[in-house]
Amino acid sequence: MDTVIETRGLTKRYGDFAALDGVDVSVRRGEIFGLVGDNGAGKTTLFKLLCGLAFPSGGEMRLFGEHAQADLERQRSRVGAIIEQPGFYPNLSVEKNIEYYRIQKGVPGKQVVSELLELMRLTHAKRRACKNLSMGMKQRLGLAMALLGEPEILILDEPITGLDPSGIVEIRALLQRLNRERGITIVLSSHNLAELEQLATTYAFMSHGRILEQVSAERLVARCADCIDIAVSDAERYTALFEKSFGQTRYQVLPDKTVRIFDPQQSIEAYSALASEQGMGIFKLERHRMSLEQYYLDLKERGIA
Amino acid sequence: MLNYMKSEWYRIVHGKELYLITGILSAVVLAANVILYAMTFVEDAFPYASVRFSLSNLLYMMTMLFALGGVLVAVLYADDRKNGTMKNAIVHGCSRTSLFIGKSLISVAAGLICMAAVLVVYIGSAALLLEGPAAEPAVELLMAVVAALPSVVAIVVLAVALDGFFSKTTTAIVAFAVIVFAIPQVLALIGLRYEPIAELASWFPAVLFGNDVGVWPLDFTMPWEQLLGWAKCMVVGFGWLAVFAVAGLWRARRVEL
Repeated sequence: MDTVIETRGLTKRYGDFAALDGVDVSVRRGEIFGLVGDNGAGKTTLFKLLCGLAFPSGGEMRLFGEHAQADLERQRSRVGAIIEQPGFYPNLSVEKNIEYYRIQKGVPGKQVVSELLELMRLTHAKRRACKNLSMGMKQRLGLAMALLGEPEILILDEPITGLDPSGIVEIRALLQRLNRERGITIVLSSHNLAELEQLATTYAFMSHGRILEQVSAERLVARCADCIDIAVSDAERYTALFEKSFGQTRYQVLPDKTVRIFDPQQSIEAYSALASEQGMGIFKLERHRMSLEQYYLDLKERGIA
Repeated sequence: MLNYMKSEWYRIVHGKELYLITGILSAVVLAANVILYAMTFVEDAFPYASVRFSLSNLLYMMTMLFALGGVLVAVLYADDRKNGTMKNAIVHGCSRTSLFIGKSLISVAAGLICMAAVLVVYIGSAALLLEGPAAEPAVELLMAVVAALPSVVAIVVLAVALDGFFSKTTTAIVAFAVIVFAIPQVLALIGLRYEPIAELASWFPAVLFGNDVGVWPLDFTMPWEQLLGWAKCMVVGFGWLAVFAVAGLWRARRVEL
């Protein structure tokens, strides 16, 4: 798969504050790329830079391999995006808003408008003024506009914010369909990590303007799949022991002294036996799968790249 | 840029804003002439029911065109940033330069259409309802409009620049009023005491087409009636157009959304 978006050391400063601090990401064609991060982590800023709404203070970004300013502007016509919230003229009807953007993008054929209305199930509301639409309909309208001109990349900033459960399911199904059937690369951010988990094929975790990690969904599932929590009478001695015995280095001592072992190298019985052999009391022993939230929080705490 | 302009034209044609402004202004000038006409039934010797008097109202208030230019831009592009429509245009690959130039050209075109329609109603209703010859005062008014046109265009470009610069339309309107009216008037006031400042103030459209126009019937002086005055109107108009266009472009290229 070729790389369609690539940033190297991308930086955006507002005075002394670094909204983005040396961000490196790469998105390959056909991926659903989930950007995970708290409010203020820099997700929207990254999207704004990619879409040309803001200017970088440093670093480099490439769209479809091009990085010169004029080339980037040209390549952006191959990108559809919703940044922060869908933009439209509130007093114009749904149909006229799409027609307006069809003309703006220079998309030939008026039938495109009715096709998009159909795809987004907005045909029944085509004559309704946009200001009177529900949140879900506004999101669908935003997607319709973003899809004009058959973009190869969709950049969606919090596309499910404010949607009710059925709206979320609907948008998720639609994005999956667009990715599967049209091969559109989707880059999206969301606060709803459980939702993102059902969509993304690659993740990037952000905090304080930096990318903590970029990982494929497969790898992430493997990492989250195995996790053992063991609470023993002497956590410090125990961690030193399994480091030496099993070569286990990925672990974390939680505030309640529980030792969380990531990607365990041995069976759960082996870890408990190691503690028992040394006469340590075991107060808790469980194996569980980490949620995406937990993984992100752990990653933030460790601050690893 | 052409696609952007086409889309804007589509929006203006299918929206209500331009029709609303044109309708309201036409109704106002028509009502003014109807009132003058109606007054002849109240008072036989009513002296103001003439075409010349009616048309002189605009002639001596040319600065009204500047205010209306600002209003037009504010109405056409109200909350463009807040609605996210400007963002969309950039995301769709329009450059900031194209947006600024496109908006300016479309606003000027829409303004000219609106002005033409209102002038037809204004002059037409005056000619039909009021007394006296219509051709001469109509030509005088049209000459004045042509003299003010470059300044009107400059001010429309300024309004577009301010609208793109400020995220809120209300802030842009305040800035517009300060630049177009407040600063020149303050300079003109200071100029009452200091001659060089008065000279400086006279190069601002609001002073040239406002303060410097004599009031009928006391004074018939109008700057554009003399060759030098006409030239000054052109220099002021095109000069400020260049200033506002360069400043607007410079700023537009740096705006982050």
